[in-house]
Amino acid sequence: MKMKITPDFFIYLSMVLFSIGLIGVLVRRNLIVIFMFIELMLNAVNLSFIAYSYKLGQVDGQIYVFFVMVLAAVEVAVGLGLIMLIYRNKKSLDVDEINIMKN
Amino acid sequence: MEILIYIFAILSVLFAINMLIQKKMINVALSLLGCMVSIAVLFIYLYATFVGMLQLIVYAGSVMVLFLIIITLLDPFGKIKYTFTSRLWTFFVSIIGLIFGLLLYVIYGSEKKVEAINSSHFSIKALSDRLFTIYLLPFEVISILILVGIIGSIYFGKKNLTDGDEDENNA
Amino acid sequence: MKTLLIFIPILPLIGFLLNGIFGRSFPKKLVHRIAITTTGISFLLAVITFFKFLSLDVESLVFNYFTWIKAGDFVANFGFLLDPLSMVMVLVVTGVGFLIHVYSIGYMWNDIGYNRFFAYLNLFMFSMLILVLANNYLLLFVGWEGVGLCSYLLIGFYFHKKSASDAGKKAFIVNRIGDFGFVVGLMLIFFTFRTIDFEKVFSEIVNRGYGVEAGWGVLTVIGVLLFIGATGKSAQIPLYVWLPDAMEGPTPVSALIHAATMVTAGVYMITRSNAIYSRAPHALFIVGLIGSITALFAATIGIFQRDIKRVLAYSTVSQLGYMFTALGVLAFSAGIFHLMTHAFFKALLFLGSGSVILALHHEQDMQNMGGLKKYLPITCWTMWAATLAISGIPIFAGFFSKDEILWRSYSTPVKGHMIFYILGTVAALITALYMFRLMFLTFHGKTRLPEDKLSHVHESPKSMTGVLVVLAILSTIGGFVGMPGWTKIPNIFENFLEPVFKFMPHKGIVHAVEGHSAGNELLVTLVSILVAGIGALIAYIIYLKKEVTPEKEENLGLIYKLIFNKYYVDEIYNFLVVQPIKWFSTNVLWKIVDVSIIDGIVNGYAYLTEGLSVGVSKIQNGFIRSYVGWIALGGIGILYYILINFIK
Repeated sequence: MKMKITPDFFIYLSMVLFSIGLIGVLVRRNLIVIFMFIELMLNAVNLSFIAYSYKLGQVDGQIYVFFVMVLAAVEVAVGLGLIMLIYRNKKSLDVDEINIMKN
Repeated sequence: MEILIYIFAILSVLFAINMLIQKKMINVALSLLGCMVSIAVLFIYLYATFVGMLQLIVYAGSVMVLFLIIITLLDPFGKIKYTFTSRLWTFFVSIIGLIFGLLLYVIYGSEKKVEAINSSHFSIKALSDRLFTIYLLPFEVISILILVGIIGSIYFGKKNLTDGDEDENNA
Repeated sequence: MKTLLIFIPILPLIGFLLNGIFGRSFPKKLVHRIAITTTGISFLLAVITFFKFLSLDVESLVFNYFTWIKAGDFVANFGFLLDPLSMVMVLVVTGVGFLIHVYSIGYMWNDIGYNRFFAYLNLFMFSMLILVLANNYLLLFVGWEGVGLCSYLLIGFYFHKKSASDAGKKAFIVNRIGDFGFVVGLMLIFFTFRTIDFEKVFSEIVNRGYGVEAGWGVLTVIGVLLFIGATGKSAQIPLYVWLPDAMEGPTPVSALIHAATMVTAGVYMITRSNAIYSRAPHALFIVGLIGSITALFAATIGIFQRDIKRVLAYSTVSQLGYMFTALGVLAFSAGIFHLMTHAFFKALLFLGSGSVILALHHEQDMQNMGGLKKYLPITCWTMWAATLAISGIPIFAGFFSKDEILWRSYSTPVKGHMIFYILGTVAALITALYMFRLMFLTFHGKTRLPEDKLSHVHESPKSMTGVLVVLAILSTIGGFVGMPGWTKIPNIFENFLEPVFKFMPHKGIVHAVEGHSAGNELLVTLVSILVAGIGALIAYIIYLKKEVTPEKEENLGLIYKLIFNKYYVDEIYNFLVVQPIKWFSTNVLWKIVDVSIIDGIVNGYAYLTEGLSVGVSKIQNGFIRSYVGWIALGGIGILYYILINFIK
């Protein structure tokens, strides 16, 4: 199969997705939504890994994506548990109200 | 064929932007799901069949199910506020602009040459050959990470943890 | 043999570790059993090694155990050199050390810190054996510092007594001054020869064809620097002041460390470096001159001391002076011979005095002794053997070694040898005088001890007297291994040591003695016997016939005062060295350098950190999104770094 789309296209795409994810993390105030944007950013990075793996003709990039996915799954499991705890204690998911770390 | 890929690429961006716009958590989650599925298609197009399937199973399947469960447990239709005020906003915009610009510049300036593609490089066999030989140690380490994650989430879920102070008093 | 040899020092180390770590909870009997078994086996191994060495019939053996330090050119091995010289030293150290360990059981039994004492003694044995067995200067220095440390610990053994802890510090500091010279010498050796192994350095000297230096060449400088180290450790002028004060330690320590073994380390080291010294006549002259002056100087101080151990301490300084005199006239084997016999009789004298002190319940002033012969017969007779030996009365060990030194300094044609001879002979007279004085004042004449104390006086336990007897036998017959030339009996000791001196440039000068007739040698011998006799006679008349007591000596006035106060050397040092340093430290180092400069820098850093933290802590505001912003800023930094470094 002859490729017509260059891998650079996917790299630019991942860059766009990453930036959108970052905007979401910065702008949104709901903890779960922030968490979802973090997942989006991870996905964007995964896409760039795959694109580079393709560009360099090496399978290693895919292995890294495999590790990132495992990491993300663990992160979601633990992170959502934490969010549940926070909600139970604070009755709120607004990050601007959860500032007990201050000073 | 290529048209399909362009469509999925545009779809993923649209879904991501939709995530920003939507006010209800449940809609955000569903947009993320769509975005992930589109990315999985791109993976498969880029010869990453195995990883693409994982993306569908792990991300679009289990991770999203987890999100949805939590959302339904909490406040599925509650609307979410934005913050448009304060100088934080300009700070954010400038940061995002900077990162975007820099990324663009870095990627634009990087090597353009594409290696000769050989689909056998990306076969499941080649992947597992490397995964279970030179990447064996990270593989084992990450399995321990999963174990730790499982224990951690069991702990958070099982104990009726309330405020930190009370917990300290119990301890 | 390699394994056998390593166990000689390792065993005392094991004893030290056992007693040092667990000794507190051990019963006393176990403590001394551990200490004595380890040193005893180590002595046995030394004897076995000795016979094996004899049977091998080689000049020297080098065993490298492992590379200790390696940095560029510089290689220091942990290795042992076994040759006749180190063999003699090992036998003396383990033998005398073992005897003194046995003696200590009785002496220290009622003392506090029993396990501490034996642990230190074992550590000392270990360090001393490393010192004498080392095959390079650096390892020798390790042992050198190790024995210094043990000396410090044991002088300050009764650390609750201020005088004892002060004496310990004094010994430590004075030794540091000497060590400075030693270390500089060591560096110069490495700088010149690119190696520090004894045999390599010496063969390098031979290979490069260094002759006898006429002026101040590199070998002379090395020699003088090493000798500065030796003056510290072996208590020579001007650094001898610590040794008399070191008598604050327990008596077995004085016997083992400050008489028999450690203080002879300087003599050993210079003998080991004979290849250097024999090519450096100026350094040799300094060694001989300092040695002979110390021999006389310290002997005169010994005359009027009232503390029994102080007399012996000055006598040690004086005898060490003799050894250095021997080295100064290239009579290295005579010096080592005297080192050996001195180890026997001086250990015996100290242990005997310890026995007296113990019997009198820690009374050391000879004013309160006298007539103790009745009560302490074994101590008395064994000490007489040692006294005769040190005074140089024929057939006793000291006679042979001292006579050898005097004869060599008379006959060897090196610079200033007659000065050494005259100083040595006068010192011999005074030696006999103060030693007989000590014996008469302690054991003979009328008792000056109060009646109530006298009834408690009793002979020491068998473990102590047994050691005294063994040492008395050694002091009596130990000299027969080195018969003087005129007897036509071969000098076994000198022949045994012969291979050690193979790197010397002129074999002839050592045997220059042969040029003189046997008659001359006999004459020198007769003179030294006569001199010793005169000294003894004077002591007999004054202290036994006229019954002069230490208190009556004060009538001598000015001379007495001058000598009793050790020529005010401590005071002079205090005025010339200690006070200026104190002044400099207080007014310059403390008030200017420390308070304003160093404290200023330290406080400045504290203020700087505080100021910065106040600013930085504002970033930590508790808002997660602002944290994300900062993380993103960090990402921008990394991207920028990639941009300027990797993108063309």
